[in-house]
Amino acid sequence: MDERHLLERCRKGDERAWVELVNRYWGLAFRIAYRILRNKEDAEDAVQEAFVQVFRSLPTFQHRSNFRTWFYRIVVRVAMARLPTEPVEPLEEGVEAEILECAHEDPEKIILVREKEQILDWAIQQLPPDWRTVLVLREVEGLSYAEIAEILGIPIGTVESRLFRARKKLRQILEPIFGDEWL
Amino acid sequence: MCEWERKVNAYWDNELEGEEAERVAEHLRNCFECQLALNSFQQIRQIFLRENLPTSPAAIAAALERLKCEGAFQTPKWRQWLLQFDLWLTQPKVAFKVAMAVSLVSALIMANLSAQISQAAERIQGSVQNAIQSVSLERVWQRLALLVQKPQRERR
Repeated sequence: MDERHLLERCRKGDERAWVELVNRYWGLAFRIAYRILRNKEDAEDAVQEAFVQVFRSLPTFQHRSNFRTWFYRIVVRVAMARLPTEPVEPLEEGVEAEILECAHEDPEKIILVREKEQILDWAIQQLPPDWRTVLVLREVEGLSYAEIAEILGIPIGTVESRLFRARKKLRQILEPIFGDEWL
Repeated sequence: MCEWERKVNAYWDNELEGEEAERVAEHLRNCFECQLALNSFQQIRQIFLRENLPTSPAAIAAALERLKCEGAFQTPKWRQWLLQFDLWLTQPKVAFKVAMAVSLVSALIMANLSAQISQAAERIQGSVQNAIQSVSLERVWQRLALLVQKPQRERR
């Protein structure tokens, strides 16, 4: 079923159309929300909330912009609103120093002690939410600078700048841990 | 840090075109620092793409339930009536009365049918008896005799 037809049916309250819409876009929404929030439960709640907002705003959706872009905007907005306002405590106190110390002593040990994904989680949490969101939209969803700018309502130059800073910061964090062999 | 790194960042994202992209590509061939930067960009993307995401079907079901509570699904009128009828029918008092009524009607139908069946059986029995009586015994014997003689002739 094409998207326009599917959305029309959702607008009319067709349950089966909603089931299809949720199943079709759940993965995409979860990918973004999870990578912004870095927590499964929070991400699932955010996606649920995003779909409710889609339901509430669907009558005003005009098909002028792409549904996907419109949906991205909702998901990002909902996920960003759920981010803690105070600076994130990345890991327990002293863990960062412990990781760096282990990496210098025995790089393989660190991989055994902590999963790579946990380290990535930790590294991504070091990024400011604005940088993190731009990075997620670019790296995971493969969106262009113009698309990201449209979704976030910021200039293209800001997208470029945030992306560059986010990558630089991740590099600064991950390189001492993984050395040359990141993967 | 090489001053070209920012451009390498945009180059990696395919955001540069024509001559600008060519210039960055040319620079990348000669600058070790930018090569390292490009390599790190590649690795960051790989890490994101490899990441395992732990979503669950229960969460999708919960989202649909929430949408239902919000009134996203409008049930057609005929289904609403059907649901109301179902709710009414499944009340213990109503269910008992309906079951009794159905049993009574079934018993009446069965009784009516059994009377019709026995009448039909009687009719068949009568017509068979009539048929037997109408056949003469002499003709039956003649037929039997023919049947007995026929195989004997065939053997010879």
